[in-house]
Amino acid sequence: MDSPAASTPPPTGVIDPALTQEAARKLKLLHAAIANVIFGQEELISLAITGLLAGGHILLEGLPGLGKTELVKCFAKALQLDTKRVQFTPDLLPGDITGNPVLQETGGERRFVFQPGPVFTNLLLADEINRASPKTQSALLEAMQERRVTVLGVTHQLPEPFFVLATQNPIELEGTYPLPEAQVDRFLFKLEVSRVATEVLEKIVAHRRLGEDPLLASVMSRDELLQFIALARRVFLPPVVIEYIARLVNASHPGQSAVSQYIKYGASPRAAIGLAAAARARALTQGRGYAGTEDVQAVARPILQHRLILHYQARLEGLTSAEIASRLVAEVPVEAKSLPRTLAAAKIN
Amino acid sequence: MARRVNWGWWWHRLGPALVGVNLGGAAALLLFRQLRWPLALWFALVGAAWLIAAGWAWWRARTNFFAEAEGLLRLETYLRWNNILSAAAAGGLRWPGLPAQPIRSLQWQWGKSAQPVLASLAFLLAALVIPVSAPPKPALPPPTQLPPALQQAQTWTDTLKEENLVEPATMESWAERLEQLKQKPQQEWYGQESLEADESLRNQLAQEIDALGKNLKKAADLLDALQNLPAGASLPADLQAALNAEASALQNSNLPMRQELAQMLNNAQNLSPSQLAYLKNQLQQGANGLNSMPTTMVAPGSLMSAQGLAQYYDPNAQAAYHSAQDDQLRYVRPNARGAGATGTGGGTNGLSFASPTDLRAQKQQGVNSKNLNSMVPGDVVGISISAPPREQADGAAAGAGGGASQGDGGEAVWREELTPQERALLQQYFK
Repeated sequence: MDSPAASTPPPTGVIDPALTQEAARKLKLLHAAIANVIFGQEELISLAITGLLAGGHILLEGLPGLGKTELVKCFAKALQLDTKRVQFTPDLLPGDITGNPVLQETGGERRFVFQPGPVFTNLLLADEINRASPKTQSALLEAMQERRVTVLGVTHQLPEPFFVLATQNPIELEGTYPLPEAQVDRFLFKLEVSRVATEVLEKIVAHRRLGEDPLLASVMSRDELLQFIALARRVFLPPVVIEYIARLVNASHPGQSAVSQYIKYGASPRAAIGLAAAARARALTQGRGYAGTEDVQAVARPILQHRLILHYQARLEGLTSAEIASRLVAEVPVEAKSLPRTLAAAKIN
Repeated sequence: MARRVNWGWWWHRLGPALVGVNLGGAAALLLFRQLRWPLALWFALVGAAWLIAAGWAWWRARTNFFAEAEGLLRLETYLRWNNILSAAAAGGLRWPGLPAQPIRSLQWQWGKSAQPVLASLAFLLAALVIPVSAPPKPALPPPTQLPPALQQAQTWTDTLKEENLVEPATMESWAERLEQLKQKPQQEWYGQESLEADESLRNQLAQEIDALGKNLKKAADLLDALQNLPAGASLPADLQAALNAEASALQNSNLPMRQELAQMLNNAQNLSPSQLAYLKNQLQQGANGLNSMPTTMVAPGSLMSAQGLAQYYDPNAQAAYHSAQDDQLRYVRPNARGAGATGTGGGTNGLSFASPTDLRAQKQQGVNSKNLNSMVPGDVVGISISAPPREQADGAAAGAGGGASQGDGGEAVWREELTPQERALLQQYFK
């Protein structure tokens, strides 16, 4: 692509390309640093970076031992973020997440002093979130959405940035509680951590020792991350891309597309907002000051797959929500209007 | 880009509409040509239909029209520029430099869209050039006027009844025959078969009337000779034989004389002078009356007024009409075989031209068709009456009997001299 002319002043709202290029360079470094620890998961790492850049929470789903927790630890180290880990168990209480008032005696007076819970951090690793009771899971709802916690009528603001990286096991075992749709909808991405190829496994075996924490240097500071998050929000979203996002989300509802026959309930407007934010973040990782439909298509599957509630017919046919989301992206065209039969798109030489 | 796409959508909608208009126009053109309506009106109607089709196509296609933004999207999709142009158009990016070579991102697919339209235009052209025949003329109301032959026959039978010379029973039978022909449906009066039957009856009646008149005249002359015999003289045998012969002829014809008069004639030599005078007077008057009747047989075809001709319609006869402005029209039967030949008298001939004012077919005449350009093979141009071409005597030696020509195997020979026996008989009767 030709570089823009330097003689003409940039239009209003255009991000300085130098900033986007610098942001892209840094983010590539972050990607490389984490990929140096988590082998064979390049796309997972890219999407996770995109999710964090968009300011969203991420739900990691995968079998045990695939590196979900390790990935979160890598982010914490590379981004120099305050990180806390909560192992969700069935006996975990909401106060164990948000914090509890504690009766203290100070100067002869007894009063309740709020003791912040582990949620008061930058990066909260919620391990095996589906093992906690629904009551405990709901304690995260306000924190994830509002970035604040209310205890005994007192609202406590959470620090910035605040991310929840939750993990869950796809195998349904005894003692697990599926996440309610309201909480699932608050995760920007749901990323599937899949098993790696044999070559990658060889590399893991060659470079990892059991129980040993891998070394990972810091790539960027917390303030830099906040700057990049702010910059991502300034990435320009053309009207045609906005219109494409709207059509994509609308097509996920029953009766609006061919694949929606398998969908009982479609994606919400929160999904559309998430698509826009994630597309901007991805564009920034590519060094662009504007987002395109390609960016939307790249992030559509992790954003939509956990927001689609399928019909039993889809389950009978063995279709997963991830496959439905992929079909949806393939079915909805980028252009709203088609060409007439009298015209055909020429082939590019 | 957007403009080209919009043209494509408009043509996409216009094509089927044009096909419909052209096919309808082709059918309408055939109708116009058949009914001889002005083609300028057809052109105006088809032109208006094309305009309406164009407007309708725009109306239907407008929801698919591309705006500028959609055109940019199409272009950047083709170039794989990931919405650079859209972002620049929205002010989020500097405009990129365009490629040096012209961008051909769309290709017209004329083959699929133009073929039906071209085919419909071919139909239109075919409707313009293929020959179209005029529609059949509508059926005219049934005729109210009897055919001339029947009218003549009716007049003759009425006259015979008034003369009271013929046996009433015989007149009744003739009247019955006449009535049978008149009872046919009016639509069939002027059919070929009906006309032939009418003329046959009339001709037969004319012959009988002629013969009756001649016989009555002969009988009256014989009675006159009988009256002039000296008193007391005997009846000559030849006169008796002649009277008997005439009486027999008058009684045995198809118009037998009244029984009373026949008996008197048979017993003429025994009548008193007053009775003889009465009988002779009756026969003389009857002969005068019959001989004065216009029983000349008319050649096939008869003169009819324009009004009379216009009152009938005979699809089987394939009548050929002269211009309706002519006062005299001539109707002929084209299927009647030409009887015109040497020795057989007049008759129809092949196609020729007729003069509507000429009452006799004594010369080659002709009919003309006013609209030869619209005729198709099978239509009758015209028919005619003409005198038979009479062969002139070739000057060959006239042998016994005075044959003017030798004939040519199968033809009748026209004789111009009488035999001695014929001459003697004529002298005897026409002293």
